[in-house]
Amino acid sequence: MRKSNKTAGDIIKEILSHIVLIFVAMIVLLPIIYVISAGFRTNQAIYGPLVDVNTWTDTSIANRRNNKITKPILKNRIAMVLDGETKDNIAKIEADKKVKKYVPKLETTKPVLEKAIIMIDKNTRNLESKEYKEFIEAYDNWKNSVDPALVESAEKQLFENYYGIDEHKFLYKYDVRTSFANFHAFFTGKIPNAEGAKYPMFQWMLNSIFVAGTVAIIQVIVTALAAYVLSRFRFSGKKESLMVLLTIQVFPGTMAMVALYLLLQYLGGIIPAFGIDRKIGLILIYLGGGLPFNIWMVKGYFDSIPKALEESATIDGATTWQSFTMIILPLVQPILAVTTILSFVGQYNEFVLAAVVLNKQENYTLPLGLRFFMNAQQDARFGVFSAASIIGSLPIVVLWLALQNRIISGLTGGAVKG
Amino acid sequence: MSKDDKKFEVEESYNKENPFSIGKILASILFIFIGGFLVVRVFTVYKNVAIPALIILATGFILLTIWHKGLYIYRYMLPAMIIILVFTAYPIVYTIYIAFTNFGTGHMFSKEKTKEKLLTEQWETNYAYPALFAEFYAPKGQVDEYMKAYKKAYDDFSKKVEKWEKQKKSEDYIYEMKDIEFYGKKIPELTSNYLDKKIKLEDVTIILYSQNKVTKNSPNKSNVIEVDAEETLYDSSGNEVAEVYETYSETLPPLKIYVSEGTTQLKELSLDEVDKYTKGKKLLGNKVYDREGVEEATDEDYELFVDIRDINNVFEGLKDLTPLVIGDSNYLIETSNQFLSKMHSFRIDPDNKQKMQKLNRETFVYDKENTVYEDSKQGRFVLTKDAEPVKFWKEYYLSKLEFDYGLLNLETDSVVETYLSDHFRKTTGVESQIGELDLDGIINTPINMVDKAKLNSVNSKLKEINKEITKFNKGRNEYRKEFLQLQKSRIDSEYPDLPDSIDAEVMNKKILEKITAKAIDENQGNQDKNYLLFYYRVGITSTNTYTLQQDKIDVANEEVYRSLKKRLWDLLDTSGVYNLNKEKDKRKNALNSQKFPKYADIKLVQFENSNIDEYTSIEPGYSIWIGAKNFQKIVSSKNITAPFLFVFLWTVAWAAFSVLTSFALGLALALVFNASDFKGKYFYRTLFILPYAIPSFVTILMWSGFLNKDFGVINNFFNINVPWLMDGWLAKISTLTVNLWLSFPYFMIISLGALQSIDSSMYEAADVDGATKVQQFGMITLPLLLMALGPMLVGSFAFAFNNFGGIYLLTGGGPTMAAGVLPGHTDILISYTYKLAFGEQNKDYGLASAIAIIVFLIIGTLTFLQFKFTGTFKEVDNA
Repeated sequence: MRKSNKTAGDIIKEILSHIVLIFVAMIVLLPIIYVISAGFRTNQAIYGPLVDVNTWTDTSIANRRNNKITKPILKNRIAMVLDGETKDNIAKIEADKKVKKYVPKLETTKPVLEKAIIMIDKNTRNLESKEYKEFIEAYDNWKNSVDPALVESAEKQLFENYYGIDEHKFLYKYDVRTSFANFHAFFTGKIPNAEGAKYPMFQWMLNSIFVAGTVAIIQVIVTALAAYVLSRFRFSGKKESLMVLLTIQVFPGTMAMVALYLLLQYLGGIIPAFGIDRKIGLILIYLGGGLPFNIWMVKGYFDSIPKALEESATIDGATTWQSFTMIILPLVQPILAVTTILSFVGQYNEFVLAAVVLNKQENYTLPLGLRFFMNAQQDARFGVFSAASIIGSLPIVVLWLALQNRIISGLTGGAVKG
Repeated sequence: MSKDDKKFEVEESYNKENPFSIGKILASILFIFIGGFLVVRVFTVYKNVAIPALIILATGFILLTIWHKGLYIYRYMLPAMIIILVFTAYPIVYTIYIAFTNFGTGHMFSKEKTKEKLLTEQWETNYAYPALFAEFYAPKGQVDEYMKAYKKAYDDFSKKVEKWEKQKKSEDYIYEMKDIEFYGKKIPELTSNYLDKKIKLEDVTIILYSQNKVTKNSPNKSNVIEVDAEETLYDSSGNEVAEVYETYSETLPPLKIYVSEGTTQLKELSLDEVDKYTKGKKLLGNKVYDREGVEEATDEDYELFVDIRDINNVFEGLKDLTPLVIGDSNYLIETSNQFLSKMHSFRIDPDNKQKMQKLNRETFVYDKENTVYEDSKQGRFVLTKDAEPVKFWKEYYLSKLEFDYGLLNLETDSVVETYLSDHFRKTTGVESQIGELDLDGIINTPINMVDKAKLNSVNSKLKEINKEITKFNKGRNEYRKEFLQLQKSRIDSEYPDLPDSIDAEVMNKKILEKITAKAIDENQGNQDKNYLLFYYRVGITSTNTYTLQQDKIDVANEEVYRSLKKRLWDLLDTSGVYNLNKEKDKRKNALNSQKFPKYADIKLVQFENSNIDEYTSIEPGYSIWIGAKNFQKIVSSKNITAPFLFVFLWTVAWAAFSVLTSFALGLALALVFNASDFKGKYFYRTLFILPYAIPSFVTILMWSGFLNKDFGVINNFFNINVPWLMDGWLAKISTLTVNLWLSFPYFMIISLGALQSIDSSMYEAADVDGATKVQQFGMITLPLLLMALGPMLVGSFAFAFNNFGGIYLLTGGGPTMAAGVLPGHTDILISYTYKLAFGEQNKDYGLASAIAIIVFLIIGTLTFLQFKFTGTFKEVDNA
């Protein structure tokens, strides 16, 4: 404790730093918040709703605001169109931000508008829905009661394909709906509004978990065994092994991707499951990745545990295996947990080797799949991407938040040796 | 660390174990079984002895660790050892090996394998040289039996049809039933009964003639046939004048006959032997190729054949059902094509078993001229120009007049170049002087045969020419001024081209609103807007006329084009979207940075030549050891060196900046938290950790969406149109910023740890001495922090150096530097390697591995320093 008594200046300082910190945190977290909110909106492109670019040239008023028409504007516009306002007037009224709600001038407009508003609030663009049918019914009544010229101009502005009288489909696309459709899409692989496009995202995530989990578990077992003898026994070749571990750890495994690819090809010839485009093949080449580093790190931790306990066990007649499993393992659990988690997180994030090894879509890991999805869908399905991001991040984020201190101590490395 | 140097002794521990437990025996059996299985598999698949021997050794060692007293401790090490050896150490060694080979597209296999492939494998059907005539025979009795059954089935069905006709079923119904009942059910049944079971593929004989069919009575049929050809004549301006018919003769290849019994056994026959193979068999079909001048064989004699062909024609699906599709002409063509291209590509030279010969497809002969030689320098098989073994020699050639842009300039400017070369031609006599050089006996002559005296005289003449070139180069500045003036006045005098990048803006943004607003005011702007759209959508240069609302624009007409341009500029200018004068100034300013290349000196350059005919190099080649050529390529290849240098510098800059920026931000935040009585420390730490805790592939992909030029959140939100990821420098800044965003928490965490370990009494002492906070930070905090975190910063640098995801997921390495250059502006070494080895273009594993080795060296040195720093090596010594 450097300071024990707070002065008024210190308090102001602290409040100020809170304000600054919260401001910085807001900026830093804004992208994440955006993604989370996008995950719950259907029809979400990266920015704003999915825009049908083909409709934008049709009328000059449709161009206003980039076809991103919010509910109030849409309601106003329908009312104005039904009232027979000229385009210029509509543009002027919409440009004037004071007009929040437009009150229809003609009596005949009201019933149609009423149905239209119900339809919009229910968020349906489905021609078969009850709301739509009621709207069309009201609209037909309106049509018979007003000037044919007005009808023509209204139809031009309201409906797609207005010559085909049967299909009264709204020209305007409005608000983005809040729903779980994107999450549903994540699990089914079927993207809303894009029938035929299939992206087995849930499968990708399962692949990722399977691969990363298997690697983490095997690695931790192998690491513990090797680190134990390296720490506890004196045998010939020990120094050399340690030196090899140190040296090999220097070389990034990803740079050997060509050789790893060829190695898998070779192994695939012997046992097909170990080959290219197989999850087990990927697991195999991941296994070698962090192993030297892990052994080195865990060995350091083992060294810090006093040998007295084992010695007494040995005197009591315990074999090496027994003293390893019964005495050492319970003591080193923290470091093993950290190794497992870090290894899992590392493998879960890995992209380049997965890209080298995996070809078939259903074998992709989540990073590979999501990149593929982003490339294929460009801007259009950002909502689905966001949902996938949220679910895909969950395991890792939960691990982090739950085991923050442990992971941090593992990351900072030096701490474990102290 | 507790210093406890006592170690357990291995043998002592072993003695406690039960020497003959069941577990040991079972494990031994298991490992023997696995080892044996692997040995057998490897040997059967790869026919290799070395690897099985290694596996046997490894299994032996495993067994020793189970049973031997002294080795028993290794059983704990074994899993790690095997994994590290196979999946870490071996790939590294192998990468080093690959770096010295030309392994890659076109050189994928070893020499022996390539040779084997050339001799046996049929990799391409050559439809340019089909067999001319093919006959198919099947055993008589079986075919007759099949036909009897076929006829019976047909008659049965005809009766059914009569019945239906009596019942006055509609014609459509009968047709449909015929399809379903007869062709759909009956015939497949029949074929599977007879063709599958009774007429085996091995019983069928195929005879192929390389000429039109020859009979015994006319064995010496002429090889020359007459071909009628039609030709259209044009006059000098390209108009059609007349069609001419002419007849010319074409020589057919000499007669060759091949017979196949079954699919694979193919033999060359003499004419006399043909009968032997066709005896007792029935001709099912024959086909003459649709080749000019060759008559098509008639099939009137072969009722049987007609019937079967009918079936095939009517019911295409039968082809899949039967292994043998008799009488189908497509099948005949395909089979004979495959046969000829397979058999005639290569063979072992009968005189020299080491060599191969290639078929001359014009004459259908393997001649001495077609001997295949090994080009062991490139790793490929070739035919040489002079039909002699591959020879390399050095010779001179005269380097041409070339512009020299300097090493790092990838882009050249053709306008400047044309301008300069015009002046060069006008003011110097270099071109004619070069023409006057007497180069006979110097160029196209192996270097050791060149006359020295003559070479000297040419070289001295070249020196003089070069003096003139140097003089011209010195005067470039004058021309540059002239050029700039000319270009500026041109910009002033005419309307510039409209900005290219307006497209997206027009589509999305205010321009359109402004124009629309103007349109409403003037009541005619709608049309103007459409002009503008038309300009960008159709592209004035690509279409000559365009009709728009009764306005016909003929853009091929210079005047119309200019007036349209004027109108568009007026529109943009008055609506305030673009300022014409500003645009002109912009262009003028851009001119000032125009690079003026100089002419490179002309020299006699040595280069390697050989007697290999480039066009007859045979694919695929094989991979060979090429020494340090891949590294040479990195240093001195025109297309690789400059981009590599760019990538290298950027990689270093990227690693350094990403560590520095993130560390600075992380440290700043940590300093704020560190005050020990700061409330909410844990809360903020959790908050700030989030960008790091979320998997990086998610956050990077998310940012790639945010930064998209056309759809991205940032551009849309601020209503701007910045090409964040599409411009070289901006993309670099974007990658660094995104990296800063997602990695500062890590540095915050480690700084926090380090800050807490600093002894607070130091600050107290400093306070007493009257040091300011800044002084305290500079003199105490930072040095101590760097001491503690130094190794980790080095480690982070090494990590950033190889941070593939941070680059590739965001920009894909793009944007491209220049056409034909593989790495993009943001590619770092590892993503460049990835593109080289697994990209869409030709794979170059050798070069990729060479770059990997360079990275190994850099990272290796760094880590070595880090170990020195932290005393890790001492730890090993003490172990």
